[in-house]
Amino acid sequence: MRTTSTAALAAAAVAALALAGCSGGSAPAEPDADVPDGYVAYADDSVTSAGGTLQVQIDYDTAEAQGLDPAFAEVARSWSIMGLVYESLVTVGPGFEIQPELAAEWEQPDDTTYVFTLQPDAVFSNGRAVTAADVVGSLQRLLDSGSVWSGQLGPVASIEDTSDGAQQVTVTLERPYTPFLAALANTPAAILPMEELTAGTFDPVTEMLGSGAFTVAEHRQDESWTFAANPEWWDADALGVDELELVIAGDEQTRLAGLRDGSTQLANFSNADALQLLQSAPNVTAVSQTQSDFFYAMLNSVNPDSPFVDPEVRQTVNALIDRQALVDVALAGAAEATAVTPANLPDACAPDSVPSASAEVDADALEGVEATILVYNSDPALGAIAQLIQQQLQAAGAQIELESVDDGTFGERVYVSQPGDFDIALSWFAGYGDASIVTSWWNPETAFFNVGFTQAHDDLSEAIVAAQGLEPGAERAEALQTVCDLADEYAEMLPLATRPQVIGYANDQLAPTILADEGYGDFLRLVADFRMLEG
Amino acid sequence: MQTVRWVGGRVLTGLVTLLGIALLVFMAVRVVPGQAERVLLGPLATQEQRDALVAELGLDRDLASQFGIWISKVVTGDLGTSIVSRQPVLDELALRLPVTATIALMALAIALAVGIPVGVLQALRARRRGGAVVSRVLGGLGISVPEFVLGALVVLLFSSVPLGITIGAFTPVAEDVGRGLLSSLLPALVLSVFCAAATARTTRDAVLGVLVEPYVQAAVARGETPWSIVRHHVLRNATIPILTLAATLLAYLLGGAVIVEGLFNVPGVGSYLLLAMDRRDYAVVQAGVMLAAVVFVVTSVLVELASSLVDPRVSTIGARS
Repeated sequence: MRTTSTAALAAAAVAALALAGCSGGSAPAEPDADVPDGYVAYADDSVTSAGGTLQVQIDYDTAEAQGLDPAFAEVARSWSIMGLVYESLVTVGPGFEIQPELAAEWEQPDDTTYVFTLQPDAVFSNGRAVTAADVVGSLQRLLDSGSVWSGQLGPVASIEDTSDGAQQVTVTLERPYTPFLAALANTPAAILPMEELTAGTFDPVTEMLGSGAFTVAEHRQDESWTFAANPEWWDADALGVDELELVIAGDEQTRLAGLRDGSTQLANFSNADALQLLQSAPNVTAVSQTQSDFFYAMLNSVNPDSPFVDPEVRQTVNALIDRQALVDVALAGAAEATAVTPANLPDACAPDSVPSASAEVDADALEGVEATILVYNSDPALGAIAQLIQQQLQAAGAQIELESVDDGTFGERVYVSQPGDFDIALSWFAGYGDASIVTSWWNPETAFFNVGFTQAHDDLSEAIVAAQGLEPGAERAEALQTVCDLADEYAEMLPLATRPQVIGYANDQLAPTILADEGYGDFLRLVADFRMLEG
Repeated sequence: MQTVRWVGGRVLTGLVTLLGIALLVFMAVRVVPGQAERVLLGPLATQEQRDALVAELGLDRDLASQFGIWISKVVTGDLGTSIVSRQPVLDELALRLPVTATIALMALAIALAVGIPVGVLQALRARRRGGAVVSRVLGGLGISVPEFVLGALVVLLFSSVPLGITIGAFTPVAEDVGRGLLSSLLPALVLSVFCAAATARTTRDAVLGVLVEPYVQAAVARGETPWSIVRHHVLRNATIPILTLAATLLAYLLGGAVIVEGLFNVPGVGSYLLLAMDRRDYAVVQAGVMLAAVVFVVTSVLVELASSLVDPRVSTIGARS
């Protein structure tokens, strides 16, 4: 059997980009006057849906060891797919505003208590009404799971069924934790049918049974999903799609071709050049959704063989990396430079406000430094970023090699080996829906996966906890600035730039509603508002 | 009796080869860095979660025990369960193999239909300078242009000018014969280019080798027509190398042409195995490689048998050796 590699597929993409006359930079799309603030596409009430099957192509399938259990879902695409079936208490809207989902409303009598009142018509797709017991059971199960998301819910003291007429749940925190609602908005906090799960008639690993807009009709791993509209959904009348076919098409050229030839109506792209490539396609609109997800560089300060054990070398590298150049060249202008707090979230630090942004560095500051940049080969953007960082560091005298490996090898060398077996590694974090959630990953005692290459710093860890306890506003922005400054000085995990997501759709067949900003990679978040046109 | 012994020897050799491949692939997937529980659980999992998955997958046993359990199940037809889809690997392969087989057979048919006549023509016109140059250039291009370049060109061309063929909306033949064959056409065409060029070159060399034989010269001297000479003397004697090549190409194509499957979003064996390797889905990788090995060994044995029918000296010499 002849073997190949993802590198070859990437080469195919490059070849086709060249064939399509890609010049490397993409012109940002002109904002549509009819699209309200906070959206990049919007199907208003004047658009009547013709119904039918929505054909969507996405980049990859769920592939978690825990199967389809949302409590253990770790990758963004799993959140998007599971989010079609499951609902959380709340969701995020334009500008990362927290909005009702399964909870019709909530109130906060004090800064550690949240009282959620459930949608009165909410039922699981098997017809059983969603109860407060399902909410209590699901959230308690998440907390008890040991899943990393249990920590993101924050310092939960108790979750109680406080139904009084309406189905009601009260969550009490040990101390104020502002990102609590944003953490609840993520798919891992989905509400499961606990009665069936406890009785053993529902296995969340192999099947999905939720209260959301769709039910699973068929799934062929890594090939396709077919979802049917859930007639039991509490907002079923608003649903403009009768059936949703998700085709897993790993190659970006295939997804581009599907939009060009009209066989698919919506597709996503992590390659920012797709924005330009799709501009010439008839009947196709391409939009760029700003993600709070961001790329970052890990400098190994734990492995004694790494040159970055020396804090001065790390700070020099941090100061030398030109984030804007990464945005302009490697990410085709479709991203933003960022600090630890994702650039597009409220209260985020400005990337040019941290100490390294104004540091003076000698032209030969890295003379004698030899290092390797490790990336995984399933995301072509990482290779482009690595090349640019290599050039920037070599300009200061360093000798930098690039090494591209498959995901498994990358995980082994970066997250499992103790200490981590690398000098510099590149990856990306989900940005979530609140500026302070991702900051938790800068504390290796909370984020145990990075203990092999970063050190614990009491002042930074305390600053993270302090900022997470403050209400949004000027005081919190100042606290987050302290987090950004300290992380910048320790220079172990260097935030670089946000991760672009381009979404293309057939404008003669579909009127979608897509948020301008997203923090969980879920470009299908508002699929219930999509309207099918008679093409 | 000699032929029976020869056939038995070939089958036995094939079985030993398969056992060797089984051992090799089993060890190979385990020495690659990035163990299954680490890849699948990702960086955020706790040690307890990793230990639980290791125990579930039986990876806490020694390698010899793991191999023994696996191979004893394989011989009974149990290829294990995918740790990603949680489906039996046999069922998953049964879904994907017909897809790959359709494309492979189409590609091979196109390659033979184009490659053999072209190779014969090249040989017959080998002494004409212009024709030889043109055929060498075209043959060289066909063999050396990578499938990802050719495939990308075809994807771009046919998605811009659809001509009734859509990219990425693959239909298995089992679901709809007409649409299935149509959606298999482009990937089969891309795959056939290399195979056709290789077939033409092999055919040309084989035919040239036969053309200088005394019995062909005698036929020319007898005044037989060129077509009669080709049909009665040349093709028969050039069959063995072409058959051998066809078997090799078929095994390669059935093993899964990963890049082409990826570009055309064909849910075949190749893309399935590539993803499985990325995720360290051991049962799938082992089963997939064994499948390719079985196809290769079986076709090799069949080709040798066919060759011995075309030319009985093959089995005679083989048995003596």
